[in-house]
Amino acid sequence: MKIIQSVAYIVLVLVLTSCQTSGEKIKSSLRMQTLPNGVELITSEDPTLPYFKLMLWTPYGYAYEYQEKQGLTSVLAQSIGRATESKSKEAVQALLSQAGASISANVLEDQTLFSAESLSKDSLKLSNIFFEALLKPKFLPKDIRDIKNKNLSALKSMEDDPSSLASYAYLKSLFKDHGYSRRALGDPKTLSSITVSDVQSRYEHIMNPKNIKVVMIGQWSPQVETEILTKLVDLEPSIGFSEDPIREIVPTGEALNRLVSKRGLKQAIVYLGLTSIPRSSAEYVALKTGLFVIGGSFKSRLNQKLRIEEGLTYGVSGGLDSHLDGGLISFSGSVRHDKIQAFVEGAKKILTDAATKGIRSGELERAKSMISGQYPKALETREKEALLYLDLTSKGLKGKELYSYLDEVKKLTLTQVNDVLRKRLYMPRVSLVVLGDQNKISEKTLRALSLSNWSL
Amino acid sequence: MGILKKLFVLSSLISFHCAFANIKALDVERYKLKNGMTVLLHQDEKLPMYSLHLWYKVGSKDEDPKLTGLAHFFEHLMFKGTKKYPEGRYDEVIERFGGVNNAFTTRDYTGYFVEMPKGTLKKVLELEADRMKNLDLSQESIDTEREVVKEERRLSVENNPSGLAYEKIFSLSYKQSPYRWPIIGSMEHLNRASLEEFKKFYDKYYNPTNATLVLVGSFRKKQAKRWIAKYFSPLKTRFIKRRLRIKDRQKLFKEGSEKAHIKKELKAPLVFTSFPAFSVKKKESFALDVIASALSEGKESLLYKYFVEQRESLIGITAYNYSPEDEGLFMIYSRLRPGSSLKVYEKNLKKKLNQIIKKGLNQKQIDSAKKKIMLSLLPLYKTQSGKARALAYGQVVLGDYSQVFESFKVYESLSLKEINKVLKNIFNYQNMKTVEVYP
Repeated sequence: MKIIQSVAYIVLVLVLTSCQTSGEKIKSSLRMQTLPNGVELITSEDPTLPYFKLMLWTPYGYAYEYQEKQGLTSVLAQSIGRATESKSKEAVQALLSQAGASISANVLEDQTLFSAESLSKDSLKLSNIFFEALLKPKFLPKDIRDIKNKNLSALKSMEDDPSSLASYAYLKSLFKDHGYSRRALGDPKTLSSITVSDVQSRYEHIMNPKNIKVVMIGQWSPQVETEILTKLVDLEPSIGFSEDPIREIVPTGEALNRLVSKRGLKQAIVYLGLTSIPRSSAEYVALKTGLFVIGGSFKSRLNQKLRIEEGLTYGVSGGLDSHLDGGLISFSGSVRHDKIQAFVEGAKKILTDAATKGIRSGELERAKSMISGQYPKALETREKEALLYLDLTSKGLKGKELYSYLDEVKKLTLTQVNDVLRKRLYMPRVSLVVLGDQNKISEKTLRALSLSNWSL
Repeated sequence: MGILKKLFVLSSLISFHCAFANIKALDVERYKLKNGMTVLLHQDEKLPMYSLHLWYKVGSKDEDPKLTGLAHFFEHLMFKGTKKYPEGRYDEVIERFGGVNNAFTTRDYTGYFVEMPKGTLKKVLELEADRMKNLDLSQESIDTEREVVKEERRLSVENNPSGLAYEKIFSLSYKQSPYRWPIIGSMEHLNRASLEEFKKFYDKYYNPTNATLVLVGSFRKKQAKRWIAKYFSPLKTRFIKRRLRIKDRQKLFKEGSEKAHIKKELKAPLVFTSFPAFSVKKKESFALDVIASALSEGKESLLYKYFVEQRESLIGITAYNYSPEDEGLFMIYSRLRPGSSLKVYEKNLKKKLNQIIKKGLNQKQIDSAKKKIMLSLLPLYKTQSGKARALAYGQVVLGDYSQVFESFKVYESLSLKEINKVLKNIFNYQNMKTVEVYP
């Protein structure tokens, strides 16, 4: 399709609104175009530096794969940038290399993002090979087998990393059967069952033009934009593909107190938290801000007490992390085995205090000031702005919240924040997950914290 | 490529743009106060914020080998308060103004920084000047912070197999170089560090003559200069007697091939390999950046393609040129797939490196590597804090911030022949050191 026809099909051009930060207007740099087949093209030119960045985003991540095919989206994502319908893997990689680029894929709970970057002088080279790799891939059995083997090794090696293991144990405990409890790479058992045809089906589902957003940032020639538009308008809707229907997050009925033991650790990792609201909840901003006072900065209540005053940990932090279906309130820190009890009791006391008495007016004002003061940095680069926009979209929002967030924070009252804290920081449901060496934890600590052994 | 080198190259990019794309170079004003403190100012009104970096030219290399970790421990103590602003007040003021702050310690320098909304500069300068000279240290605050630093060591080194191996490769590689001990220090030394030692350290190194203040962002220059003079000029300075720099490579590096084994319960064994390399100030170091990129950056890179894609023996491999102010190390870090043989991998690594050396890199590989280096630097140039850090790095490590503008030319000027000459000489197996981590 020629460019004139393509452009005629653009039905919507939208420049997002600007926002107010620290008394200054910050203008959105993103320009949106929706093509007739539903593909959204987001562009942001940056005349200051000679780079060209391409992203292709879809609202499908690892959370909604079928249970028995966990890890499928990651296998698919890593298959991109290998063979295409007309080129071998070596030819694709050589072309990417000429542009000094490689295609990277980031598979998250509710979204997958493919991206690549080159110097602007290579923008045409990059866009040609990027879209060929993404729109005309060829999934070869050998490539799929290689990727599965590599992912299997990576999954096993995650057990070597205490932070990954602790985080996985915590998510698994709280999200249970929901896809948010999984790892992007899947599970060794399910990984082996993934076939080339699974990858092909997942690809067709993900690449549905109605769901795709393409982002161009930096500097490029008119020819690049023309060619990209031509490729995108030709995309046809794919056949539907059902996903795992489990969308409900069932909260733990009562607090879990779990110890995952790993021999030889010099320090334990402690998580405290409970399942919580999705990003789209009306309570999100108030809860996020209230929890920031508890664990979001150096002067937060947890850091002040457990690090600064008592020297128990190098750092303790946390807050609210919300997705499409729900979120987590989490606080975590690393601590010596003989100090686990002091750390947990100290943290719980602070959380209980915040949940019952709320935070103080001065604390809320400091939190508002920090959020407002630092917010311009979130939009400082075009990539950051685009990524935040895409992230909000994956969480069921429109994206314009990016520009109204500060107003919402500024409007918050102490009563609003404390009401939400009382309601959502429900202490009887706050679970404890500890990763540590059981031989180094005293019986007294195990009993005092009601910790029971749990194996992943 | 390390952050320092990235910063170095980043700024060079700026000059490249100036010359070829008609983009303005950073407009920096540099001056010195009478007490010796260096000041760099660059206005950038893109955000209603500013980034202030205050770096001291003191790192772990300035420590006594019998009392390591002092520079990093001291970085923590700089937040312990003064008589005017007791403990907690510094963070309180910064956060109330809507800012954030942090600090970092390297082998060559210690950096403190804040990211603040505009209109708050006067108070921030007052706070920074106050803690440069009036820190109020007590035994109690040191003892509490000692436990925090020990927790940091457990987190980043003792609980972390890569951290352990990284620490070991330095002690194995260097002989007399002060880079041989870890920045965070040993547990034994952390337990021993006394109030008296910290006071001596503070008096010696926290002086205007040893400090560089960099301000990038939204501020009024005249006013900023007035306030800087008001708060920093009265501070007295003193002469710093530094350890003599060892230049003889035979004294700096341990000779001979050596291997160390760290026993850890790991599913995927780790291997660190090192070779004596160069200071960031030497041209060979730039060649090594290009070589590192060609070896392991991207799926087409030589070692990645061979070990991860073709032989399927590794999960990942990174070639890394550690190039600090003095002589550095060229390292290869590999994570084996569970079940892969360490012995076979190490044999194949030498075999593959020999093949690469024999064949040499070609022009396409070098061009691709240079592009990747450029791209890896751009994110820093896009932000106020990235620019502030780049300028501070140029001034403190290279001795002149404007030096960073020259580095792109150095990369550009490197010929195929020069790069292959460095490639041929770097992998001297007689001086290769290896650290293996496995059960």
